[in-house]
Amino acid sequence: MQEKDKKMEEIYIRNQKNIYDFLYKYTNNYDIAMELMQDTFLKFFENYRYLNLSEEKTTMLLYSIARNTSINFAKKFSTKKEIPSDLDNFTSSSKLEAKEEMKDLEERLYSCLQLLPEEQKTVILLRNVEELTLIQIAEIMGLSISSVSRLLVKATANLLEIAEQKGIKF
Amino acid sequence: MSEDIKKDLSEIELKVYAVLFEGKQNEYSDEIHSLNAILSKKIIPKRKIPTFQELYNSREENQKIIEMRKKTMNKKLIFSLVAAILIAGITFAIKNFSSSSVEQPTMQAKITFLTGEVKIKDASGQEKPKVGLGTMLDPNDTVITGNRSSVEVEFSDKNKIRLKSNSEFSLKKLSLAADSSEQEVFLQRGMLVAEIKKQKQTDNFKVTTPTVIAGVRGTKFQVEVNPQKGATETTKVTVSEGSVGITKRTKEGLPETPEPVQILEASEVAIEKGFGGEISKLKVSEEKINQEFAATNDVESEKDLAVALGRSEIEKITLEDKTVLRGVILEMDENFFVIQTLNGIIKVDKEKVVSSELEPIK
Repeated sequence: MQEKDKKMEEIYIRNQKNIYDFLYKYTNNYDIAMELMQDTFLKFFENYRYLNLSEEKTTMLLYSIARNTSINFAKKFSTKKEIPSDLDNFTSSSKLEAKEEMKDLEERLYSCLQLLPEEQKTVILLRNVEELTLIQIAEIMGLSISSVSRLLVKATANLLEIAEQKGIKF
Repeated sequence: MSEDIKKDLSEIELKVYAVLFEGKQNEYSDEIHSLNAILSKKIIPKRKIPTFQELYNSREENQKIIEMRKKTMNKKLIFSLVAAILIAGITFAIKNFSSSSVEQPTMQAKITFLTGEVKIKDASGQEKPKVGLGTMLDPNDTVITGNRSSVEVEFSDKNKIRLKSNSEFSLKKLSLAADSSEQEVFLQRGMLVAEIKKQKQTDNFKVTTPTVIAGVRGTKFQVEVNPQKGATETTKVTVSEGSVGITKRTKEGLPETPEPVQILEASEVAIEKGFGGEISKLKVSEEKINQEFAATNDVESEKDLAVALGRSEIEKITLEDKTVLRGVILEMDENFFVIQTLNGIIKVDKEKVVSSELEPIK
């Protein structure tokens, strides 16, 4: 293994768990998350192995790639999956009903996450999984800080509302 | 700023805002804190996460996949090319200077974007005294960028190339006849991005490195020459959209075969292992290239961006989905804006634009 690959190994070891964590909560599927996690790192190695990036930049790039990989994956494999634009649509979602029996509060919450618009889901996960700053999230998503703040507020409010509709008590 | 964020928020959202950003307590505080606690709780993977070595091996296997495909013409295209260069570069460059100087320079090339340190040398190695926006390039001029620098050159047929930092290219051919055009760019080192308009069958745009010729009939691609200590001449080509024909060069700089030996289509990467080596091909995903474009931006602040393009304002474009793009509009037609942001060049459908405003740079 070359010197560059040693560095990539360090990056992999340092970030794999958090990226996997993000992807699991993002997709709500262990197998898909594992696959996307590997894709994310392979893409990172392919593109950035010759660059000397800071730890912070590396982390941010990894999340950016992880998110894009997930979006692309979703496009490819769920051709008809539409993102509900408002809360009224949530109640009629049969997908959620099917998962209703899940006992685990966390699992139920992760499935609620899937009902958020993509940007809202990404913001709330980046904020909580990695505790990234709004500035960092804005950079990863290519949005302004105020857009990210609004998305975070909307994501939180939406999640609370969905959770309430589904009888999830914190 | 906070008033801006709060605009049009519902009652619940305002309360959430108060808890998240103003540290206030209300009926939602406890729920929000529990919600965030659950979301930040690390999950335990149900499958073993592969070791780096396992991941690394799977990558090596992917690279062995070789496949040939039919070439599709007149499609949009983005590709990147990475090559490590040894001696061949310089000798070949000199050879070509003499052979191509016979051409009539009827097509013009001028600088349309500039940031950092950019030098232009003519065929005799003489440095041009002044380089700035609008500087015209002559055939066989060599353009060199320093650290954190980039330069964009636009041809009279609107084709564009942008040279990234620490890079060097020469304009080999620059000709325009009644029914055809020919442009050839020799990338000595570094990276360049080229945006090529839809071409006629008789138009010919080529990017060459010491080991390969990439013939283009599309719109956009990226080329990188990455001198690596101790490496042999290797070239990597990545295509995002459309197709590129790759022809190997002999040590004398001539095409090894009359027709391209490898046709790369969307989302494919070819790795060329230097003179006499084979070209292997593998498939990659689309956003990898987008990532690459985003990562190769050399401008750090909006001010640099505006100054580099000779503007004093930054355009703020709000899209339907509330995405806000900030940057400088490079071009537009009736359907699209092309905007240069700090995260790279983005093409925006005009129908999706809700509003746009100009902000003076700070």
